[in-house]
Amino acid sequence: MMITSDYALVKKANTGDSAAFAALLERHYDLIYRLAYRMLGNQQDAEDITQDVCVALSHKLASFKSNAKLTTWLYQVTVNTCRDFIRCCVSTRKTHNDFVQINQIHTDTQAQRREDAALAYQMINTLEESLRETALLVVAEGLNHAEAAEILAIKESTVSWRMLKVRENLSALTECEVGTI
Amino acid sequence: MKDEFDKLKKAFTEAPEIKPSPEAKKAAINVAMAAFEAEKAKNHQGNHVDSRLKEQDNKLVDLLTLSQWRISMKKLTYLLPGAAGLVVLALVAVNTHQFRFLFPNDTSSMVNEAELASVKVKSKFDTEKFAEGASGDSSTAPAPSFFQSKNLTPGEYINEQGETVMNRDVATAKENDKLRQIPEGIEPGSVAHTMWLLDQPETPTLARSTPDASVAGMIAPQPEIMPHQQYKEQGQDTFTAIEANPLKLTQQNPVSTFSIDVDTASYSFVRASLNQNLLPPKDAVRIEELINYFPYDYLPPKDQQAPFGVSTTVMPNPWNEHTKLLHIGIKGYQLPAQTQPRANLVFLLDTSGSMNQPNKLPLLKNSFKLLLSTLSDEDTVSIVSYAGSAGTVLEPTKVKNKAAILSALSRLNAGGSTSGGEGIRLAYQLAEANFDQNGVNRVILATDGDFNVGIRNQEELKGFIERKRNSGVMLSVLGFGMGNYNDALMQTLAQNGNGNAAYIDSLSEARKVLVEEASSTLFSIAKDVKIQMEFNPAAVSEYRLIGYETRQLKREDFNNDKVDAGDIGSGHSVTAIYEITPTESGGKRIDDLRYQTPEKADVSSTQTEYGFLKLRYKLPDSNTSQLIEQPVLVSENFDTIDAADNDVRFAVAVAAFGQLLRGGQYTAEYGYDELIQMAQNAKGGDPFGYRAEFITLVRLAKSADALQAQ
Repeated sequence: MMITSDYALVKKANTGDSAAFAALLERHYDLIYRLAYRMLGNQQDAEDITQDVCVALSHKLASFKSNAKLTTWLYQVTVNTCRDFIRCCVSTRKTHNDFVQINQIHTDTQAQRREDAALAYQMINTLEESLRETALLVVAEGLNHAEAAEILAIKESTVSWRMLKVRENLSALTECEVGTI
Repeated sequence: MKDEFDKLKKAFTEAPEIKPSPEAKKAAINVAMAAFEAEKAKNHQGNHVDSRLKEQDNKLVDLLTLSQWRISMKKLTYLLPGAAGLVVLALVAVNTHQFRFLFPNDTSSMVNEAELASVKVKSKFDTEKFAEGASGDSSTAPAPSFFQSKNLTPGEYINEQGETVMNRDVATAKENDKLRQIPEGIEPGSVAHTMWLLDQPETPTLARSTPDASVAGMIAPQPEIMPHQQYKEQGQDTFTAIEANPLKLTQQNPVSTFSIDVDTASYSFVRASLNQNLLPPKDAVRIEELINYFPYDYLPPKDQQAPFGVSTTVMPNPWNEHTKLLHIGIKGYQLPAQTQPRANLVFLLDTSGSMNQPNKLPLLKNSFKLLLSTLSDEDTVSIVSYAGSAGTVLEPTKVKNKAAILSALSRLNAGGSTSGGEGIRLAYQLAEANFDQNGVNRVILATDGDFNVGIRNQEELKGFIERKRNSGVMLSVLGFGMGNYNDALMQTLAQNGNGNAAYIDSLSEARKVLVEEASSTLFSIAKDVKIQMEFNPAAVSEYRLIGYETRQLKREDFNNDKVDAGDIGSGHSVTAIYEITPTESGGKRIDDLRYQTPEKADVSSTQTEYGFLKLRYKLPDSNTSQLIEQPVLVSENFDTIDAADNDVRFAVAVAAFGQLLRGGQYTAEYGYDELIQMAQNAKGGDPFGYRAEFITLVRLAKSADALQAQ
């Protein structure tokens, strides 16, 4: 059976096809959640935001331009939603703690990896917001600079510049950690 | 350099996959599907936004009306996880905030706001909690999500002016809807009625679900509606525990040493709490701060040599006929306005997410506008804000350039976490960079104290502030907000940074602290002021210091200039009250020992004195302390309470109030009514109405106390 393309599903959903809409949600929920989790740092907020994005898609999908990639557009919507949530409401007390907490259950290597990831989040969280967003998209999500630029609605050169800054900040951070020991 | 970055990248690629929980996913999809169906239904009902949907709409005529949609919702609920049948759906609170919020930057979308005002269905895992909530315990109801404010029904939206407006088409549809068939089990009219109720923003009855406000009732058997009241943080205020100063035997401990305290934060906090008809937590009540909240006209210094005047009064104790009260009043020298030094102020403003409440950031902004009006043109102001990261919002600017300051202030928005430590560091840096040798250099920190990023260890912060104290930069702490207020931290900061702390709960409190008492808040005339009282065992058998629990010093610290203590601002008044038991009064509460006979004190020489009072202080720019000493004479004793000054009696009334709020361990039968009477008589001129307000507070406490006793 052939997998229906995102584009076809969007088109169908926009004519009121519930099944198509459901299929889209099913397919992309994980992506939205993953990004939300990375940006917000805890499961509860990430779930809430993901649900809000899903609900919003029901009226929002009609405005999706077919010349863009659906995932890029979803990234865009999710980044914007998270961004505003962070600005207005979040209290990041439990940011990325989840990552550390779950790790007891897993084997050693995995636990190690989880710890590394938690540390990585900690480092990324020290960055200023615009750098942090960019770093999450490029480093954690593995997108290229052009894609990140499209999502953040900035120039590709800005993404590259920001990533340079991220590198600088990270190395400064480690120096300073070493310095304090 | 490459290493770090690559390590980071590796950490992310190798990190275990981030998997959403299947329940959450299912719930979200269900909810989104419901919204999708609702969207279709709404488009059908005359919404003209998307013409592509029109054709489809025709086929849907009469199939997907709003009420039909509700039936489909009903089916849907059974699919949702959680206790089947107990699922609660709330028709919902969508607000503009949310629309803007969801698609803030998207201009390509021509989606009408009314269209967006569809239905947010809250289901998810709250179902179980809701089931509990339905059994009447409103406290178990989950906190609403982060969209709170006005409740809007589908079709309503908020226009640019912030008014609630009903989309006409939807309004008509809703009218028609009333006439349509309503699913069984629902009383005709109840839907419209409920929706109408939902329309009323901030209707208090709505917050607690009443049976006829139950939208859920038409969907699930358990009628309960989501509480839509404004989300309130509560129960997260942090206070240091206070153990009341114990009664002491003069024989064993003749000397009492403490630092003065000019903070007023506790009083404002108590007031804010009582105004909500709640008794404040015991530890929030610091009696000395209650007393020192009020300005008193004690004897000012005789000449300018000493920065303050000291007066003592001994009078009968209203709550115990056997004991007496020793009242010590200190009045700081009032700097005349012309000679006030220039001020170099750094405002350190907390703009973290937790400040995003009407009683926090907006109040803070207005408070600072007030303060600006009291500064002179040559004073310098800079603003540092901190949230996730700290940043300079306004470089040092002269006050005469008011427009620049105001515009910087208006640009502040709340959001993000609180990196308070970093902010403090930056603020001190700015203050030092712009240090005015002859002026006042002060960092004014405004926050709810919820530091959650960066240095958050109190000890570490304390250490930093202590080191900075020597640089000559002083610190004032202004606390905001209730429910998540970290009083303990604020006290630590103010006490260790040569500063004062006030709690701003209203604009009128801001006016008091920053306008009427601006000179005492900003200009200190003496620092490290310590009091040491030595009691005469021949005249006083027992004594007890009321309040100042957090300010106790060791006896030897009195003469140690390295030990920090409180500051006195220009014109400040400070009060300390001891309850003393004169010998031979018959009111001794500590029994004599059986096996040891107390040494007989040398009665002959000193029976004329209750004790000896010593004060140490440093001038603001000095590091060596100076001493003031004077005896407390038995002959100064007043025979009746009424003979004492208004100010003294009022301070005693406030002390009694503080003790009652803290449980009344020593106040015996003395009650609120006697207290009100005493405060009334001692009100005096009361130019700003603070004392009248106090009396109102006592009444509130009386009723709150009665309520709690039930």
